[in-house]
Amino acid sequence: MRPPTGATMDYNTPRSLRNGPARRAPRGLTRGAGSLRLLSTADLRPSRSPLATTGQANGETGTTVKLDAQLSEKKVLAQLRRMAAETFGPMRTYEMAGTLERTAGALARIAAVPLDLRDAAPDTSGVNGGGDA
Amino acid sequence: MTTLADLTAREIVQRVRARELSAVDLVAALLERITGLDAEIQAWATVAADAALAEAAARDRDAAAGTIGPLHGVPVGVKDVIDVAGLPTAAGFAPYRDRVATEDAAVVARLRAAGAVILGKVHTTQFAHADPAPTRNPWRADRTPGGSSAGSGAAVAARMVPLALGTQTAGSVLRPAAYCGTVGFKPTYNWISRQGVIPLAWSLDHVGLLARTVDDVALTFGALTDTEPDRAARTTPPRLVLLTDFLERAEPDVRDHLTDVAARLRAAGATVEERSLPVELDLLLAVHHVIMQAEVAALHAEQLARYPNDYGAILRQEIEVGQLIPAAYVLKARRLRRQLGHAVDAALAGIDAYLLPTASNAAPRHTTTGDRTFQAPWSLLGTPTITLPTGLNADGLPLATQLVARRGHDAALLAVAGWCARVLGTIAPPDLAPPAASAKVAEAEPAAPAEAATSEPGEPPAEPGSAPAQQAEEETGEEPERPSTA
Repeated sequence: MRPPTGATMDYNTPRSLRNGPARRAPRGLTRGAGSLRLLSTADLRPSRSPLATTGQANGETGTTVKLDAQLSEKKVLAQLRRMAAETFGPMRTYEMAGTLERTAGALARIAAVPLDLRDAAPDTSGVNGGGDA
Repeated sequence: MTTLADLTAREIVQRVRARELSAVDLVAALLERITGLDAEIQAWATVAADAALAEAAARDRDAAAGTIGPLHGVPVGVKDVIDVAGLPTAAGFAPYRDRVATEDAAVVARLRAAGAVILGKVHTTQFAHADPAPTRNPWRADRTPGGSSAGSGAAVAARMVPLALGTQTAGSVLRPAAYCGTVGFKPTYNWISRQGVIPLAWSLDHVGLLARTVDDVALTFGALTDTEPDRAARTTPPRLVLLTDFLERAEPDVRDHLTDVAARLRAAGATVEERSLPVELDLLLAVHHVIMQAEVAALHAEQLARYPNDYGAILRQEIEVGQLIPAAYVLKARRLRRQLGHAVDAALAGIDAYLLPTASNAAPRHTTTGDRTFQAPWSLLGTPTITLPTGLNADGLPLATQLVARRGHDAALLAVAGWCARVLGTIAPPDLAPPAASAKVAEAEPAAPAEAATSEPGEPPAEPGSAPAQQAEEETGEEPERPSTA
């Protein structure tokens, strides 16, 4: 993974220990010979690893965990694992198994709670609930 | 016999004011105690010996001139995520080792303005998260002092300092205080400034206090917030609710202890009803988990990319997994947080405080900092909470009782805690071998406040033999490493 502009990266660090695996430049717009070329819509399909596609049949997306009250903790965990494998590699995913499980449990519980849109807590800014940066 | 190290903050102020005690003599005695004990306990990251002696001398001069602050001459240990001008704020993170603060954090500046003497920096877990600090529990060296304010809890329990600053994002003030047998207080969110404090998760971070008595906590909180908590205000027995959700999750010795505490409070006239929380405990914990993890990731992701090998394993995982959490979950968690806060506020409105164990267990092994389940809900909701040392288990380890009040009712909570402490008594300190030349208090000992009584009928007495015996097993005979000084 290339470091973001302005950031530094220790290139002696093994790839598996960096912030993520190597990736291609985003599809869609490519720079060539000093000009931008718009690719066809067929080229704009998001890139997915084979791991990411396995969840599609279950209604899971390949790139994120959908906020869905029907998603079981097991499905959330499977999706988190996929995301971790894509981002950090399989070894780190294995090492962080316990943390992923705890987070999946928390996400599933939050997703399962219905929100009354007219409830007494309409403010999500956190200004009063604790949120000064 | 009372030594200088045994004096409470209020006793120190009284004696310095009366010119019966020199702040320099007190600081010198505590420095000697730290030198004698810290090789084993490792509470201190930096001891600012010269600066503390100079500051103490200035306090003595002020006292001679009749200028006395509310914390005049009281030595304080500062958790190493809080800036003290001229000292490094390392936060347990190697790349910050030489990061010397140029200004005091707001809370440190307040302490100095009140007359306190900054003795140095006490160890924290890395960035106040969960990778254990090097500090050992003064009661038993093989047990954790808790975390993240590990050095704060251990230093106060070992009588190295009467007062310490800590921070809490999940349970980092209450839990070390409980495991080390001290009083620990986390005020309402935002009531003590976080300016100059390295954040972990900004909407959950609180600055808190660790001391040996409720009275010292009240004295310090009053000095920091320009309020004057009325210690004598609580003469009537409080109305308490014993939260059954937590009793069910506690270890048997903790559950039995809290049942006994409730019985003793009832016998003294308190109303203690058993109820469950008005909201699901697991939902509180889930919301806390997601908000904390997302904020930790937001704060630390960039730095982790630069220093991947300098992060502790637990914090690194927290940051990495936090980066995967979708925004919609975090926003929903924040909305739920407000709903949960309203529900708990409403439930607390009709009573004085919740009563529950501070932790699910006594101090576990030092490979962990302990279980945050019993403290994290109050960090999430920003409610004031206090822990009192109220007994010892069969292994001679401290057990603690927690009280929680409505947001903004900090002074009332301290008054309730003072009432409970007077009823319940406290525990004797760990039996640590004092330095040979430890100074003794020359003058007659003043009447100790009722809360400082070391036993109460029915309370299991301290077992002086257990702590040193265990520590002797841990000793290796190697040349001890001295704390760094600055």
